[in-house]
Amino acid sequence: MAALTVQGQRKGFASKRERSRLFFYLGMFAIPLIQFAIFYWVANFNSILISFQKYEANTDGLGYTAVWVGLTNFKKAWSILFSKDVGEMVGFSLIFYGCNLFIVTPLALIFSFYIAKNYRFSGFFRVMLYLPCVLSAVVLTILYKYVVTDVYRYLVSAFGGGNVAGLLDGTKETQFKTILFYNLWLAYGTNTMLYTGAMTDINPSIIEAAKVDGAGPVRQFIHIYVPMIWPTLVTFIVTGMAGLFVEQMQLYSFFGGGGSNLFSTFGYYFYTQSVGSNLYVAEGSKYLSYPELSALGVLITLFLIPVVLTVRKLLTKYGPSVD
Amino acid sequence: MALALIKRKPKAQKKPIEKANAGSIIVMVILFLYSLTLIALLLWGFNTSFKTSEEYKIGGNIIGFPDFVHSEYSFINNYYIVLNAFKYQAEDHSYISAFFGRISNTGPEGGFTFGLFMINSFVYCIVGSFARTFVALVAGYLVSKYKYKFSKIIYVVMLIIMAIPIVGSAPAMLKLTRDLAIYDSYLGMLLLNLNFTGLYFFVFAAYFQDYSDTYIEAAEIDGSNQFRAFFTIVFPMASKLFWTVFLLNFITLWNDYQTPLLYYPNHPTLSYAIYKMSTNSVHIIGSDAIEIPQIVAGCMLLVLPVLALFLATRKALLGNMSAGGIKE
Repeated sequence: MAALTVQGQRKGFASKRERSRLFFYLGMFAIPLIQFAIFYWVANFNSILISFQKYEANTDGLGYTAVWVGLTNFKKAWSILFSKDVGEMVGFSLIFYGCNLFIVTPLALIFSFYIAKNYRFSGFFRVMLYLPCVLSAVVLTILYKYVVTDVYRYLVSAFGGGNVAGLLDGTKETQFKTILFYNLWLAYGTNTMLYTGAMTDINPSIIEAAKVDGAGPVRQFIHIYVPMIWPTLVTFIVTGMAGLFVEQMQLYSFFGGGGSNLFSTFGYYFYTQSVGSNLYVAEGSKYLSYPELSALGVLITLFLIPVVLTVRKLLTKYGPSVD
Repeated sequence: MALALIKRKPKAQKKPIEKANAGSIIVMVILFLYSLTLIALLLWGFNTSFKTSEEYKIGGNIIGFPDFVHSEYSFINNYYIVLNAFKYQAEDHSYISAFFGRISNTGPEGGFTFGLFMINSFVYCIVGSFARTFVALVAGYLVSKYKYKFSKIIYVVMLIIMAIPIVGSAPAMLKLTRDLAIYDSYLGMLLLNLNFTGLYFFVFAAYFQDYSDTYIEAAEIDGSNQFRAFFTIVFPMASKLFWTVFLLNFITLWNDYQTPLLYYPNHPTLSYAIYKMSTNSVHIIGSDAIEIPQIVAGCMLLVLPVLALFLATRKALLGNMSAGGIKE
């Protein structure tokens, strides 16, 4: 009888506890989930929905009326996506992505290895490499802008080179190279921090075993460190692919939406369009309407999803492994 | 492990300094040169912020020290101008909400001044960072410690969201915020930031996976309910990680000018104002245009607080987290 009572009490406690846990779970999750439902699902669903619509201003001047237009926006988005201008924009982003992949990534791995192994001044270099992530991009672009115009012109003139144009005011090629250098120069913060973190997580006994086998730092780097952090590397390489259509290369910080840029990326184009756009834009406007922009976004997402997933799968399958 | 998960790192023993070799010396020299370029850029900006416009523009003093001796102005004149006379005239951002009709939003009469930029910055950064960090902590805790099927679904959905890039949802988001009448408002700043998607959700989820249930169970036996146990035991124990993530979010929001430009155009933050200043779309009272040393002084005002914060908390910020994704 006593045992039954205790068991009953325990059962009662357990079910009360379960109820209390469920109540807490639902109560605490409610706000984040409502936010997620509205600002992620509804917004993205809306994005698809309005890409099939067109908005017309009401005659009373208050608000707009949506009209279904089938695939009209997609036809326009398709023609934009495969236009010469967008091709050129993606080309610039592709060069940037390539430089990131073949210059920044190897250097970031070497810097991370240096920090993870704790060579001299590692702590200082870690702070310096992360510093660009802490400083405002607006400030860095403003300072860089004056350095590559005013300081550059001053130095060229001081060394007898005469009066030359600033590096942002010359040709399209010079401007692109100047901004490309800026982006590559300041690209080491986040990836170095994450690679370093992953490298310091490697089991020290593996490294000790390699040392005993006579592996020097270079062999350790190639045969242990890089293969061991391969999953982190894959994530960076794959997420960078979306950058082909999202990356602004800080063009908005350099030039605003004013049009003094001599080249453009698709990310910059899309952002300036979003800033200037509205549900309805007048015929002949330089801005696309929200429905047209949404159709463009949907098309790119549909293109990116299989590409990103395939590349991730291939990199994970055929990536290096520890010997 | 396909995705790199971020997790909190346990405090490690201090590693001894590795013996130098030819390769490490070359890398050290490269890193020193790299550091030097960054320091030089900041020092050039700091130095220029004390120059007069005439000295910079007409005198051609681009890289020299400011002329404190012959200058008729105080050496902090540019900072004084930015703090006192720097003004941004807001534009009319009235709009039609699908549910609430016309919402009038023209900004304060007489424009925005430095004090208002700071208020907006602090509201945006503190409220935004707190909201983002708190919901990420709550969601991470619930998903790790409440083993319902729904928790697993949420976790997988978050992984998928991170893996699949969605391009161009800004127009739909703008439409939605306008329809809900939260566009260009403090309420909008709060609601848009109550967002737990992203890396920090995984940081907290990984942290709570390693967290023992014993403390919570002990509190329950002592009669605490779940809410009380969360706020008196779980939250204080995760506070170090909470404040680390808070600081990282704070720095991100402090520097962000594109989100305010898109969603809160009549609530300009300092970063937004400095950006506008650099494009000469703000005004100095009693002057036709903003000169370069004044813009650079504004830049320094934006950079110095966050630089001081970073240097003071660098060990916590750079040491508390790491990316997992190690091949087992």
